Amino acid sequence: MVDDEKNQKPTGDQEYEDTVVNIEGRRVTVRTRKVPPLPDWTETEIVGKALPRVDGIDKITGRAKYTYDIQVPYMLYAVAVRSPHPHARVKNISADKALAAPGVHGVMLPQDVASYTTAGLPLLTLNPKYTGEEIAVVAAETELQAEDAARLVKVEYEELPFVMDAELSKSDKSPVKFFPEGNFIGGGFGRHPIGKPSVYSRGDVEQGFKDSDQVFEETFTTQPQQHSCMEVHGTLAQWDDDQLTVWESTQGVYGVQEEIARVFKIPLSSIRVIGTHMGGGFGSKGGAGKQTALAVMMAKRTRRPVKMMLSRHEDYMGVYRPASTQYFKIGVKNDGRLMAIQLKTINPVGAYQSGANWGSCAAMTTEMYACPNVHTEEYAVFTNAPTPSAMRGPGNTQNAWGLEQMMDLIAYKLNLDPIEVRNRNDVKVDQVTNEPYASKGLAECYKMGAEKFSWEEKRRRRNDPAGTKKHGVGVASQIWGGGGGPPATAIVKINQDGSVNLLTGAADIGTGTRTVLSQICAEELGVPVNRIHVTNADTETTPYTLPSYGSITLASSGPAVRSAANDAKKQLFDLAAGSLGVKPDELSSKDGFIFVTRQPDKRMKFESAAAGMPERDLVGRGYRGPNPKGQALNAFGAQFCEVEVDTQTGEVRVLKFVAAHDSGRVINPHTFASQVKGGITMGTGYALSERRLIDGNTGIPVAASMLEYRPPTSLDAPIDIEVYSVDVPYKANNIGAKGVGEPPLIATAPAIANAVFNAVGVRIYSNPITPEKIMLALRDGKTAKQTA
Amino acid sequence: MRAFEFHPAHQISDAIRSLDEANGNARICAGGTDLLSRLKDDVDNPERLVCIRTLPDLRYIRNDKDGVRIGALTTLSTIEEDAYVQKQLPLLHQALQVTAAPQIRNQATMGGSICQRPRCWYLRGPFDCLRKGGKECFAVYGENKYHAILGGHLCYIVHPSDSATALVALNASVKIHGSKGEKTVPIEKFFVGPEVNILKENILEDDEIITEVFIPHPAPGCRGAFNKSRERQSYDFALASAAVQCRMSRGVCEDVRVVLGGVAPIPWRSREAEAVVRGKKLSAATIREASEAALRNAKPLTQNDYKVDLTKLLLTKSFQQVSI
Ligand SMILES: Cc1cc2nc3c(=O)[nH]c(=O)nc-3n(C[C@H](O)[C@H](O)[C@H](O)COP(=O)(O)OP(=O)(O)OC[C@H]3O[C@@H](n4cnc5c(N)ncnc54)[C@H](O)[C@@H]3O)c2cc1C
Repeated sequence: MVDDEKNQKPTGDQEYEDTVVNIEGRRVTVRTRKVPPLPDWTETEIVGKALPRVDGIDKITGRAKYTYDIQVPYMLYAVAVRSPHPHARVKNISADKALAAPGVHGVMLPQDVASYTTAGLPLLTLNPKYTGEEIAVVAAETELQAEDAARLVKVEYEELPFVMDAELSKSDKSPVKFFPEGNFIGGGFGRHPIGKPSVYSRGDVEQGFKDSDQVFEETFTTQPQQHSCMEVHGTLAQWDDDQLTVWESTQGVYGVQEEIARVFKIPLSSIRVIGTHMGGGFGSKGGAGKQTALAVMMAKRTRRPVKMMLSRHEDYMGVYRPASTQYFKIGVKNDGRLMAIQLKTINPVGAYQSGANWGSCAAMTTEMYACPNVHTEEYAVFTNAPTPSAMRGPGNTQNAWGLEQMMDLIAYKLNLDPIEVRNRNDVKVDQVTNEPYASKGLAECYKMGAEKFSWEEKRRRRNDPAGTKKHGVGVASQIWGGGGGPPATAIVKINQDGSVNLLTGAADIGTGTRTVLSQICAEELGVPVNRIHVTNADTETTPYTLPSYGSITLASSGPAVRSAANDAKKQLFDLAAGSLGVKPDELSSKDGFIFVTRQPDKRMKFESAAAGMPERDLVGRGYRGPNPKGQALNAFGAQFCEVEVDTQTGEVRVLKFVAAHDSGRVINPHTFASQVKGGITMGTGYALSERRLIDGNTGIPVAASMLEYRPPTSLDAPIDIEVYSVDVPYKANNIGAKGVGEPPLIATAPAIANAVFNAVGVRIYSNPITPEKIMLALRDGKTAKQTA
Repeated sequence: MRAFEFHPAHQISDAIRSLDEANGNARICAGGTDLLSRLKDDVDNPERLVCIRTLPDLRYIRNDKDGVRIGALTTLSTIEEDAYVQKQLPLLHQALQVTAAPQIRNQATMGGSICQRPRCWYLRGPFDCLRKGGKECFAVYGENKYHAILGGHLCYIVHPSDSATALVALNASVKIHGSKGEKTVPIEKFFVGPEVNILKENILEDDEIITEVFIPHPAPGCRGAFNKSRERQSYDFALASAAVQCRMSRGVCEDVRVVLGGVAPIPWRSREAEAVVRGKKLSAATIREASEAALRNAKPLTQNDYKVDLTKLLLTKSFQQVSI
């Protein structure tokens, strides 16, 4: 994985240079190999086609094996003993009874793992700081035996005071002191001192407010959100002497491998991590989890393979997107121009310092719109709750809820079209770094989305004043990274029969990576997709790449795949040139033929050329080159939404979504649309129904199931979602694509909230927008700010 | 889930004996959609499951001169699809259509649906609450948005069953078999509030099984309506629901039963609302008055006063639907 320390090894080599990669809002500088540029694709045969997924049949028939499915002989199941208290000290712990229970092969206690941590968290603890924190692990021959034995581990606790409320924790009245310097720290990555917020400033906000015609102050809150991956978190670890194999449901096999090597101080060559098929991550599976390290240790201890999959209940007691409270103050001119933005955010991040990485959400406010004076202040506050993690569009998804509602509110106050206000504050240059955007199609998104949605016409429509079902429309915008970058390597192997193996370390976290990378490879080689077999996410057989986070996968691995295919193709052209009696650079390939570019009937079959390979196969390598210097690489989008609100019951139905996104070249319209639809579905849950809840009086989670947490089902997902790409050319990498994994979620919830306001004239400041909040808001004319 | 003995029963008498032997440590398992999640959540730990799905002859919908008889193992989807139910008992049909999700209705049984345990998250979580023999109700000062506004007494669960709400409105009765023999009880007497028994929601003894639900034929001129509000629209338990079954004659309401769901520890019959409308035309004013009367004694907790307005609204809708 990319972290700051690691990338400071300068090499004087002329073939390398420094480049910036934007990962989940962090700008990381990495040293990278320069790669020869490839010509832009002008006309494409396979790239851009809505081809079915290469592994679609495997997935729907159940043939695709996920970590959850994998069984190996003599496998044990490991189950954790978890703290029933939000804060306690373990006075006594005894595993005797558990060890004597049927089928049990091992128990690990905190003292057995004391010297290990992963991602800054203890693996097991004698001082649990949240309900559900791991105290011990038991391994047995069946899952039920392991569960039974886990209950037999005798733990005596001394209960300690706990704090669940961020404002209370932050105050001097907090019953718990997490650090001597205080209970909060600056939110976000980087080193912040404890007891101080992280601050960003440009211009002079006080002056900006003075220069404004109007100033608006509002507070928004967002609930924690759970990833709800269809496959829970889990690991299967198997030792073979000193060789370790780990199957992990992960977004990045190399990240897991590096973490295991670091924790256990064993060579990378001894660790194989496999994650070919995995059932969703959404940021929660970026690296090794505690269960990874625990399964590896338990397997060593018991000399048996050990599988540790979390239950759905445990999953719902684990990682999540942190909540936020956002205090906004925005000054504007009467024409809609933003003059000053001040934003303070409070982000409860659990009990450990590493949670603070995700305790920040102001970035979107600093960069989305033109505004000369901006001041943000972010508090990551410790509480006795689990540690959060990245989640799809971390930060911006929370912030869009506030910022995009503020923009809407300003539009209504100034009597302007919400799109007009956004266009008046549009920028071509990153407001924080002052770098121009490599491409920005946001204005096109507004234009195309508005047209397809019939925005103006729908906005003019009036509801029947006597009716109880009111229609409303809303819009919101988004910005995200997604430019990708190095390191990412790909290998393309051409076999003597002309079939092709593509080897890539990239995970397919359900986004269709295997499919789109196959398309890129097929396009560059000029062979049909069915000639390509892709092997991915296996540290032993596929080359290095960063994890699939930050919407970087396609824009990182895609260009490497194209380069590798190009390398292989050139080698094959060298052989074919002799047979066709021309020079290699006079050749092209398409539809399974290699032909003379100026004389297409002079041609040979791809496999005939391959049959002539003296070594019987041929290997092409490709690397992801640097990003262009001094340019900001971002993906944009705008989403339009129509809702129907029942003014009596407060129920909201989402009738329609039109999403227009700028993510450069679309490699496969199907997988592109499915990302956007998936994002909108997830955003609908965030907006309307999902609620992670910990009982404030006891510190115990109470909605830790799919039934109570209420993610949308296929019946709750908006049926009518239209997806458009604005196809603005993008030249920052050799495939012309930016990421679209996270962007579609960011604008969804505020678009719904804005549509609800348009329908019934009340603004809901806290998600989810439940029927009762609307009822109360309509009844009391108040804005339901405080109802959680 | 902890280990248990599994006893498939082939005759009602086997099942009763097996229950009786276990002295309160056995549970009846019908469709299992409720029971298994309680076992998995480790909030109910019986030593034995007496499986009654293996009993013959408890899957039927029979129509005789008095009414319709539904065997306890009949699935909710079979009942929902039954032509008689659709035509003569629209209230029950409407309630079933918004009960859970189709997959669950295919598995859930008539008996199980009225005996299912409440969904209170304190009852279903690691909390030593009154209904589990503990000392306090965690909902009173806790997360009580989904809890009772009527009939709470130390414990504030709401009865989760939509079909139970409908069956009380339809004046159904349940046939119960036990060691002491067989009896039939009006369903209204079947459910008991926390003031009677804080540990259970009904009068069933440990060795008793429901074998049949009986619904009398509605008198000519009867109309019924069921309205339910939920937070997630695809499937969800009721935030509140309102069932009205009423016999109309020349625009006048001759007889009526009003039952509220999702707001009280039992399906909540509102005699106050019934008294307002009985013998009257269902004018807007009367309906308003009846809805107000139904909620007059509501005592919301800290987070659920929205239920008062919501229930009035659902009741108003049900009245309006039967008045047309
Ligand atoms: C996701 C989900 C959503 C749901 N949504 C709704 C909803 O919206 N509305 C609603 O009303 N319900 C809802 N339910 C509950 C569902 O209706 C019940 O789980 C179901 O009706 C229980 O029937 P069963 O046959 O599966 O019972 P089981 O789970 O087998 O048994 C339930 C209980 O009844 C007892 N029991 C079963 N049969 C008998 C009998 N013949 N005699 C005596 N005792 C018996 C059992 O001992 C057990 O305690 C939902 C359930 C789920 C899982």
